[in-house]
Amino acid sequence: MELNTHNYKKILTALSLSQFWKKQLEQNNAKVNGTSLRMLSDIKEEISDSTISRRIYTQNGEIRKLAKSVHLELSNNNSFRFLEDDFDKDFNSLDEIRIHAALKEKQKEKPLPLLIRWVNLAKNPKYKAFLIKEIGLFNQEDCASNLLDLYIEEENNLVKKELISTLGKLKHKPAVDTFIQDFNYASQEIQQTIIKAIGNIGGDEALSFLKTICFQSHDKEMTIEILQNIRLIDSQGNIYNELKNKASSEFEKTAIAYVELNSTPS
Amino acid sequence: MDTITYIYQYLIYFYAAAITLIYIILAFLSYINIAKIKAKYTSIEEEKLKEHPEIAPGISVIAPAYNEEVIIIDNVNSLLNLDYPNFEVIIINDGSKDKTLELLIENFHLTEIPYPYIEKVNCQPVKRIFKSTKSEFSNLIIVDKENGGTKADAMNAGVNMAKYNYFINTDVDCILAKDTLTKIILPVLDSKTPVIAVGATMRMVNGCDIKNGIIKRVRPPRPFIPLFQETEYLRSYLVAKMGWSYINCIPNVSGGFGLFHTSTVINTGGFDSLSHAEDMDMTLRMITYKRDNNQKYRIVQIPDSLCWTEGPPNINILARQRTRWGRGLLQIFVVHRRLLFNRKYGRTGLIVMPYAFIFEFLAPIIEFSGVIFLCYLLLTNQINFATFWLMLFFAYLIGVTVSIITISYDLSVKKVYKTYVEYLWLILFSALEALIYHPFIVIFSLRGYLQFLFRKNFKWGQMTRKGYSNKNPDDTRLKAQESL
Repeated sequence: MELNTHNYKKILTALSLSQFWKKQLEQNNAKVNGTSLRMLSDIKEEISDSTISRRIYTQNGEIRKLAKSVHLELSNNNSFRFLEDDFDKDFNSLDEIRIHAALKEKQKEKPLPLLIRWVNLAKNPKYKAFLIKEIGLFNQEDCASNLLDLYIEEENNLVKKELISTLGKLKHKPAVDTFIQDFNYASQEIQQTIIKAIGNIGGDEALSFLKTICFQSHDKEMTIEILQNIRLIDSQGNIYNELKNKASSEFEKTAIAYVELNSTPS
Repeated sequence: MDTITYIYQYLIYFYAAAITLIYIILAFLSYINIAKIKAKYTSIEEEKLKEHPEIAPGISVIAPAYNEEVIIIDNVNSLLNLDYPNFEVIIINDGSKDKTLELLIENFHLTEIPYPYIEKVNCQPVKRIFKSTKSEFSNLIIVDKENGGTKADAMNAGVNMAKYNYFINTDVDCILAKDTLTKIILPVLDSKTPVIAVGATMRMVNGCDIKNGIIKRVRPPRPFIPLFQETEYLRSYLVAKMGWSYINCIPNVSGGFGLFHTSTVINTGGFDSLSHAEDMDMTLRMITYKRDNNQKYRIVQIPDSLCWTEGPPNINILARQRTRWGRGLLQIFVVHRRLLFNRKYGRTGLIVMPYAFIFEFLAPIIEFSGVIFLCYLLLTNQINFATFWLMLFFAYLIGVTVSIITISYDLSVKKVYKTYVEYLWLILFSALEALIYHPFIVIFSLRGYLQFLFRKNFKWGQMTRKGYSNKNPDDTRLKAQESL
C-alpha cells in the first residue's frame, strides 16, 4: 500500500512529532537517544547538524554510529562527511546495512558522488571493502579504472577480493588480463572470486582462460563455478560443448548436467 | 563417622552457597545483556535488513527428518514462510521408512536433479537431491540420504549442501517464529569479532494454537511435564545462557535451534555422529578449534523466543530424553576432558567447563548422596528439625525466586502469552517444580550416567507425532511415543 505523503506530512506537523523527537535527542539517556534517532530516521524528517552533533561525538559507540548513519540519511548539509575517517572506529557489518540504506535514500534525491573518493581515504580494510562493494551496488562505472589501479597496489586479501568482485560487477574488460596474470599466484578464495568476476565480464580472452583451467582444478567447487561461467559467456556454445564431450568422471558429468539445469547459455 | 558427617555437611553448605551466588551473578549479567540487546536491535534494524536483500547475508536453514510424515508438510511450509529476503531451506530425509519423502515430492512438486554433491564433512551416502518445479518453492532443497541413525549424521549432509556462510540447525518438529532469521543474524552483523554461533530462547509448542505450521496463539502447555519444562527452558536460556553470553562463555548452543558459522563447522569436521550431545560437542569443538588456532570468536545468545519445540508429554518420554541428556553430559566430560581447568582454553577451560562439571554434572550425584545422607541422619537421630526446615525452606525460596526472575525477564523481552493469568499459572507450577518434577530429573540423569558407564541402550530415539493442524489446542502436540 502506498503512503499518502501529503496527509502523512500534515500529521507529522500537526503533532509536532519531529520537534518532539529532536527534543528527546537532547536528553542524556542512551536508550532515549537511540529511540529518538530511530524515530527521526523512520519519519524521514530533515535534521540539522546542531541537533545531532552532540550524539555524533558521544562516548557510547552504538549511539555515535547510529547518529552518524542518521546524519548521512537525513542531513542536507555536508551529509557525507562521516564517510571519511573510516566512518567510526567500531565500524561493523550492521553499520554497512545502515550506510547502504542511507545511501539508497540519498540516491533517490540526486545521484551519489563517486564513492572512490572515500575508498582512497579509508584505512580500515573492512570499511574499504564495504565502500568498494557499494561502488558495485550503485554501479558507479566511472570508478572502475581507479579500482583496477587500486587492485594492482592492494595487498589486503579482503579488499582485493572485493575489488575483483566489483570490477566483475562493473564489467570492466581491462581487468580480465590482470586477473588472469594473478590467478596462479592467488589464494583459493581469490581464485574463486576471479572466476566469478571473469564470468561476469565475459569476452574471448575470459572464455579461453576459463577453458584452460577447467578440469585442471583440484577444487570441485571451483570446477562447477568455472563450468557455470563458461556456459554463461560462451555465446556460440562451442567451447562448452567441447568440454562437455571431454568430461570423463562421474563428478564432471553430474556437474555439467547441474550447470545445464541451473543456467541458460548466453 | 562424625568427622565425615561434619565435612560432608560443610561441603554441601558451600556447594549450595556457591550455586546460589553463581545464579545471582548470572541473573545480574543476564539483566544487563537483555537490556543491552533490547536497546540495540529494534524492528527498524530488522526492517532495514529485509528492505535491502542485496546486502543481507544469506542463511541456510537445515532440518533433518526421519519418519515425520505427520508433521513434515506443515513444518516445511512454516520454514518456507520465514520473513527474510535471502535464505534456503534444506530438508534431509534421513532414510525415512514412512511417506515423508513421498509427501514432500507430492506437495512441493519436487523433481530429482543432477547435483555434483561434495562431501566436506562425513555422513552416510546421499542418494538423491530434489528441487521444486514451482518458482514459489525455489529455495527448497530436499536431500534423500541413507539413514545414519543420528541427527548429527543428517546435519552433516545438510552442511555439505549449505551454500551460505551461516546455517540454522533445527528439527522439523520445531516451529520457528516468522522473524527468526532477521533476529538471529543481527548479533552476527553487529560484531567486530567473528561470531561463530548464536542461540535463542526455545519454548514448548504443547498448548499453542497452530495453523499450517504457523503459531497463531502462544499458551503455556497444559500437560504438567511440558509446563515444568517451559520454566526450566526459560531459566536455562534467559538467566543462565544470557548471563554466560555476556562474558562470552556459552558452552552449548542448543541442537533444537541455533545459528552456526558454516566454515567453522566444516573445519572442525562437522557434527559427531557418535556423540549423545552433538550440540554441546559441536560448540566445544568450535571453541577448541578457534582457541587452538589463536582466532578470536564470539558465541552469542539472544533473549527472543524464536523456536517452539515439542516437550515430552509423559514421564516415560521425559525419562528417555533426560537419560540421553545424562549420557551425553558424561560423554562430553570424557571426550573434552582436556578442556577442564586448562588455561589454554581461556574462560571455557577455567570457568564454564568447571562450572558445568561441578554444578551440572555432579549435581544429581550430590543430590542423590544428600538423600542417602539424610536417611542416615534420620535413622541415627542427628537432625535438628528447626534448622532443617529453615534451610529447606530457604533453598526452596531461592529456587522459586530464580524462577520468578526468569518469568519477569521473559515478560520484559516480549509478552508472548495473551493474559497475565497464564504467567501466573507458570509461576504456580514453577513453585512446585522442586517438589514434583526435579526429583525425577535427578533419577533420569543418574540413569544416563550409569548407562554410559555400562554401555547400555545407546540408540537414538524416534518420535511418532500426531501433527499440529486442526487440533484442539488443549491437546498435546506430541502424542505418541519416543521408541528406542
